[in-house]
Amino acid sequence: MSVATGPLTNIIVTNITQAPQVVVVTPVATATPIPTVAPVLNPVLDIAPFHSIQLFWLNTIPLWAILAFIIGAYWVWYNLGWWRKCGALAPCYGYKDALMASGSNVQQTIVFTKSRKWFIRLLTYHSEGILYFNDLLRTDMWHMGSSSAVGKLGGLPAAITKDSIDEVVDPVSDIALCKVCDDFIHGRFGDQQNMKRASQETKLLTFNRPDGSECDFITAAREGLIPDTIRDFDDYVKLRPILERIWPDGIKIPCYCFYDPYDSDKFMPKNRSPSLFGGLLLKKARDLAADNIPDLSFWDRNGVAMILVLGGLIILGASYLASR
Amino acid sequence: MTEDTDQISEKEKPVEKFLTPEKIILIVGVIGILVIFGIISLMKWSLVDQPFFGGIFNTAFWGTPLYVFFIPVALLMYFVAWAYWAHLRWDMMAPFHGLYVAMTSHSDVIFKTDLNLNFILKSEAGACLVFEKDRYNALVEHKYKFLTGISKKLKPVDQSTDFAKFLQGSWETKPVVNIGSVPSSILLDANGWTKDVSPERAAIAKECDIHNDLSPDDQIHSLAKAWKYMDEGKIPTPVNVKLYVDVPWVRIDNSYSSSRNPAAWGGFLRQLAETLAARAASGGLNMTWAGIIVFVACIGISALMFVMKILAHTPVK
Repeated sequence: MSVATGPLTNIIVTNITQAPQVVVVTPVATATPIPTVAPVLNPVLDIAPFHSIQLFWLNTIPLWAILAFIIGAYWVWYNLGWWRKCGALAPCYGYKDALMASGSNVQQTIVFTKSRKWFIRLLTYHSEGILYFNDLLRTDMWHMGSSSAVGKLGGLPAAITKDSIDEVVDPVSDIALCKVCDDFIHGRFGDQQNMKRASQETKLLTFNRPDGSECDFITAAREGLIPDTIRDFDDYVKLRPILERIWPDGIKIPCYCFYDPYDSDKFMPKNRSPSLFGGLLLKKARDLAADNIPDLSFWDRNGVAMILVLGGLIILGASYLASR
Repeated sequence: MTEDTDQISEKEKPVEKFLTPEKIILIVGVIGILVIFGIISLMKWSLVDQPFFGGIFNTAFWGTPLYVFFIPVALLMYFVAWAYWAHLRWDMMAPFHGLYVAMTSHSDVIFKTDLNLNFILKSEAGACLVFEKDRYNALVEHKYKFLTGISKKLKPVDQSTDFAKFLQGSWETKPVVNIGSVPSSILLDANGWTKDVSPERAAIAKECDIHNDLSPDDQIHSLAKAWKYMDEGKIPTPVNVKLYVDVPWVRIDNSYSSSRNPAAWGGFLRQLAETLAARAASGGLNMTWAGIIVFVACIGISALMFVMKILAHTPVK
């Protein structure tokens, strides 16, 4: 080993004689380094509001992510609020359907179910009938006897139906029916003068016996052709001419009163539910279709399809020949 | 206080408390937000140690970090949500908005009609009260106006009916059906007593006022009770007020005819039969549509042939 001092630097250079060593060089594949671009951090939006909180990853969440979460969470809350708000109107969505539907057969219908629920449905009206025309699995159908039973709701015509009767319901008629039956049952026939007049006029009425012969009021009452009171619709029908003699100007109902759609059920025709009415009509319609509407022939069913296929093949062949 | 009013439960008494649950939530919320922002403002601001999500959202696109593009996306999301709910679901249902008000204020609604069956949904106050509801709501004013304003904002409940029920001591309405979760009564108002401007109701209100002054223990606040008292002669019926309307027999006969002729719905039956027959015929694979599909496919393939021919064409030099 020799020691020498450099002329300029005074650095002592030690020259160490080393024994020759065998160096094994392993060839290493040197890949071209991928140029990495460091993401640019925004001085405002990338600050970490929870920087000092070393819980979970709170210290790594930037301000923009927190803002985005708040905006997203509020969007969900916003939609839930609307959902709840509009959900309150769900029973009335039939109105919206009727508003958007077109055609003369569109019928907005207010439904009173036996479970005492009220909602609106869009049904189809056709030739005195209201039904679910596009859903024939639902057999409920109602007979629309007169236009006086159809009112308006939200600017659209609205009929009222119930599960217990296959007629479109007129609330005013219902109230009047209940009133006249109650008045008759409880003997409220008006003042003495009215009772006297009604008595005289009733005696002039004639009634039909089951064999077709006629009899007067007293005989009919004696023979039990007319009931003493009104228990159901049949009794009402039998007494209907007498009721009109007692109250010839119609039925007086309170101008301001509450209506219970189920009150009149006791005076309504029995066994006339909308599902029965619809079921019978569907059965008749199937029979009518089987008897009177002929099946289409093979050419009726497939003729158009065959012409189209033939035309298509001709076009294809011609194109092939032209483009060859 | 009379015996009648004593029988009313505490729940029904219209007592205006200052600290309602809504107000407590608001106060706690405001304090909480102030505390959070206070803590954040006291913290030392510094950038994140490492880019969020590996810096995916910090990648510059057109010289702007990707997360900035969330702003138009968020705006679009809010616009679409608003357009869907407000226009397609809410605005179109305008005649029924009262249902939501009734649901939030836990009150009933009245489904009102006249003789021509013009139906409308009304609040209980609008359909039942003799007097204007402002007359009752004036009683719930706070000492300070701003408290009244906050109270009405937080809980926009019309308390007039509660007051009227309390003062009258009994009530006639009984909900007979439910519209969703809202109990509903059905009312026939043939002479328009419940219209916003009604000379009849004004005349009845005058008589009721006189009666209430003379008999404070038997007050009248509902139109149903007023009708009953007028009918019984307990209060005079004003000249312009009619208590009854006539329903002609033909109207009942039309609604409930004693016999129905099946011929009446012959056309309906025929239409139904044709619908059934058409459905039976169109069941399964519709050959006409299959033919249309084949035809269109042939046209498409032909067009493709010509396109390929044009593309493969080499001009002759």
